Amino acid sequence: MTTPTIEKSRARGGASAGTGGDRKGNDMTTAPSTKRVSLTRPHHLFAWVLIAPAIVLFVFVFIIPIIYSGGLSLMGTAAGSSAYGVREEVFVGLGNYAKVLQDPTFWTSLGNLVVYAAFLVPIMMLTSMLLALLLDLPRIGLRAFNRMAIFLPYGVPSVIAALMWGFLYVPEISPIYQLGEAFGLQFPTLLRGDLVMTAIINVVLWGGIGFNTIILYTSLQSLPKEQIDAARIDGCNEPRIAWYIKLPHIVPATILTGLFSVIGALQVYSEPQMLSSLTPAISSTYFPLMRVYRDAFAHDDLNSASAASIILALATVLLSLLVLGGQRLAARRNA
Amino acid sequence: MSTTSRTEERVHEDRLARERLVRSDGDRRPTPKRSTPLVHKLGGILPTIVLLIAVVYFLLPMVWVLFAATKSTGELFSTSAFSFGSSLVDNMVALFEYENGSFSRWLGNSFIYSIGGALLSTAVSAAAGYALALYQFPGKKAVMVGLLAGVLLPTITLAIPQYMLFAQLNITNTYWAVLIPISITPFGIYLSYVFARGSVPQELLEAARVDGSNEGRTFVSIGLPLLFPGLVTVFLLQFIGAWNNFLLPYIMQSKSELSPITVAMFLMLNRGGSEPVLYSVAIAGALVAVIPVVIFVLVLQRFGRLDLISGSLK
Amino acid sequence: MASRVRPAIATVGILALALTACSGSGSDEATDGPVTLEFWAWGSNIDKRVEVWNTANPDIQVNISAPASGADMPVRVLSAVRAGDGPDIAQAEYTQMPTYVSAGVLAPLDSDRKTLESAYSPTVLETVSFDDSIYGVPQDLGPALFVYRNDLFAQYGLTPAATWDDFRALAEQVRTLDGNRYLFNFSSIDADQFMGLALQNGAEWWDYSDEKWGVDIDSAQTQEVLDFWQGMVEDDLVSTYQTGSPEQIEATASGRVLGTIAGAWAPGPLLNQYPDTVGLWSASQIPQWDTADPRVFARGGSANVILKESPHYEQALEFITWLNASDEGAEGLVEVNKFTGALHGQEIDRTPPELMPEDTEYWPSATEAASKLVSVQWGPNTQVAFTAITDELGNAIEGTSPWADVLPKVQDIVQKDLAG
Repeated sequence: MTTPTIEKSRARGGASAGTGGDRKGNDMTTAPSTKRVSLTRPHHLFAWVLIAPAIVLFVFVFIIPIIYSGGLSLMGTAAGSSAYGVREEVFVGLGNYAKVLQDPTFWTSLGNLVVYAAFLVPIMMLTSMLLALLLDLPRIGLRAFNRMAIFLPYGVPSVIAALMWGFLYVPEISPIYQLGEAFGLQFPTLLRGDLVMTAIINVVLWGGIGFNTIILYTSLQSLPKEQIDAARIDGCNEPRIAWYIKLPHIVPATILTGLFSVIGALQVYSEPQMLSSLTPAISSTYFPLMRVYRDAFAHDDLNSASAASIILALATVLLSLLVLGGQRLAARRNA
Repeated sequence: MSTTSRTEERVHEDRLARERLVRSDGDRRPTPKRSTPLVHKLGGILPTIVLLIAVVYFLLPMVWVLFAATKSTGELFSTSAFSFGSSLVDNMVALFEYENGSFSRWLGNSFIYSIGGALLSTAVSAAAGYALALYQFPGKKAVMVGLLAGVLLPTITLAIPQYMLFAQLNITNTYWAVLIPISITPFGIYLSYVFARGSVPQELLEAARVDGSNEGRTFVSIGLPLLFPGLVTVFLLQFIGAWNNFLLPYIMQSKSELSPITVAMFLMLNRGGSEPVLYSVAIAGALVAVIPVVIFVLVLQRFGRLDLISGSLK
Repeated sequence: MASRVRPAIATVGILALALTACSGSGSDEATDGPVTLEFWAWGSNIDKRVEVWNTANPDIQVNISAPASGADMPVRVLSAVRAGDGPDIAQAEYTQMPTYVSAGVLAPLDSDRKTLESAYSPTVLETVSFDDSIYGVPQDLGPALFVYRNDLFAQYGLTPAATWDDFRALAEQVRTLDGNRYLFNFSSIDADQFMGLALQNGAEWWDYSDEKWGVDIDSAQTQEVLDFWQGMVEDDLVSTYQTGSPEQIEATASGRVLGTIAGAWAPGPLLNQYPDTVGLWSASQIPQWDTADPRVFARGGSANVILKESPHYEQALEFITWLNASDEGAEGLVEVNKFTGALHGQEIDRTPPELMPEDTEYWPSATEAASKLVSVQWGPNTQVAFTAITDELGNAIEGTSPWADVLPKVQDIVQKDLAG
């Protein structure tokens, strides 16, 4: 079955894996006027059969809960007149939204989120690129082991990651601090004050770099060998090859993983939530989603939680549209 | 600038001198003739050192757990981090006896959620991704955009409404309450779509059609085999995602016999209300919980599947 | 906060799904056969008591599980009840009782009033009574004690403080010792302790009168307590590690922190957490503002409640009365290291706790502390107040916002939450 043509098309697809299959996909859907044979109805039917489970589940797991959430966000409670002030449900319109938007801690948490993402994403992407390029160099010892070690933390649940780092952050018992002391260095306590942001970012980086590194490394693997060998023969050294050939090659994959990292960063809650039981410096509203968690799980205020999460979801959608729009604009200008 | 270049020169000479002594460099590739020896050397050693530092960083917490799991509660807070304690067996016994020996059950549940969830979501993603990549049909764009927008929604915001809905349908406190939501992942569908576009040529389907093969048979006998390596990657990612999932089972399951280890460990560490924090038991639990992940990654490494994550092929 | 009619909205959603999914009908009706009671509780060792019950009562089996931590339990129960998925019985801290009551999910236990009145002192029963109905069967009490390292106190010639002024002086003295020691660790996460300290000084955070809830957290009494601790923190007289964090446990295990304020339950958890310190602890009464009128607050302590929706009210009541109020039950609770709410359990001549094998005075001092417990009105949103206290105290301790903001902010948050 594997004819040379197939091989080629696979390699092409591979090379463009990160490249923005998204954009291509759009092109394909918006301009179906390519030389593809137009399909007949039975073919449509089969496509729908294939996609039906996804759609049914999507409706069940996403759409209905979203509608439900929207409904909840318009409701509120008031102390009723019955015995002991049993709460009653009332319609409050956009009251919950106003409440969230007027709450200064909401804006503080958004500020924290911006700072967090601004540090996390660049560090994550740059480190991942560096590690991917290093892994891809010829003559690297223990390549397989290194790759595994870097990827491994991705499989560690955040509750366990927070437990591990929770201990490693305590100066009195942490080997890192003990090592520092041996060299006469006194590291600051990360779990206190403003440095707690560093503590959170570190835990997320530890768990996330491996995933991005492997994606970028894989993208490098799809670079045709001949191209690199040709460069070597031309006298290019490894740093130049990395800079002029490999780096441009992984830019599309980097943009894609970067975008996912940004979305992931905006949705951060698990790591800080788990770490918050170790320090007074992470309040229950440190990040927006922690606030949602608190309202829903500790305060039994689903209405507020729904309103806040809808605001966040809308903000994320808006941000993504801006990014995509900007990208398209840039692409048009380049074209 | 000048100082650095001077140092570089010195290193360069140093390198030349040493190379004269040690000729056998163990270089497997034919070395390009004009490549400068300095860079050659740095190209071998500096990256290795940087990688080594990275590896130490990534493995440090794991190694710490390995040592900490051998310590009693007392030793945990009094002995140096990298020394073995005396209580590995005691901790493990305490762990597996915790709450009437529930830990092995929780571990089993984690496997049920991870393997079951990964299988389901890979199947759903494969079918949807294949259809979206290779068929033109009305409404396709709406479906794509709708599904992909799902990536933007934090799962936590949907968890409570999902719980209320599932409770109405009487499926909370069953394995399905967790398996159903994780069987649909927009990211998995997106990856499958990219794989399908990259690895299943349209021409092949058309050829099959000309040969009279029906669509279903084409999907099973041509599409799936070509997609297979990519689907292994989707499976891997979904497995890890489900293994790490905390919130969904926490909300959906109120009976501890349905809890996975993430929930169990969270409750072990956050019992509140005047209960001690069982660190030594939890750390033993962390060790046991990490072992399957290590094995899983090792196995995949062995079959080279990690390299497929971005959907590209060598 | 709480509401009961949310399933209505979910139903609308389900109608949309009617074609693809069919809803199972509830089939949990009470029958004559053996029943299984779902019991949600986080406390340790209660499972041992449940086992005893289950062996003796094959027709009423109890299934105990811990789906949430103590603090998150009310919300967990409330959302489950709303979804028609709730337990029959739940463990509730006394501070959480009004949350349940005002959510309207509890079954009144007045049918057992006689038994309960003979088993408990009126003060204890009052904490589970609302609008003249009894809503919970008290399990254990947590009268606060100052628990300290007697070996280190002896070594440095220290004596426990009788008043808060003495306490500060003692803390200053401890700071002069070698080894960077602290008398006490003040953690923002112990919001219940801060509230207790305020109650001890005469504050009343909530009141319910004329069918209305009032909030008075930002009061002179609470401010006085806050000022005291602000001084302690700012003058570095207490450590501020988060309770339960590795930092805090290390500091206590290594003897850098000398004492703590804990409920009478303390010896059990302390033994688990610091197994190498057996025999090194003692307890004394907590410091007072006014020694002429000694007042003690409670840390923790909980009751068992029955959910209104439970189809097995009779059996559930039979079980929780046996577990907590009966003589046999109280003796069993004593065996598993609880300081019982039931009088019988308090009156039993018990051996010193394992942690303090020599200390025959421990249980008598706990009983003495219990006799001085202040009576409290907790609010229907205690947890909201606790999170707010934890956040704001944390901010103050970390220097992110001024101490003066703590009480006004908490007052505002709690009040707004109550207003809905």
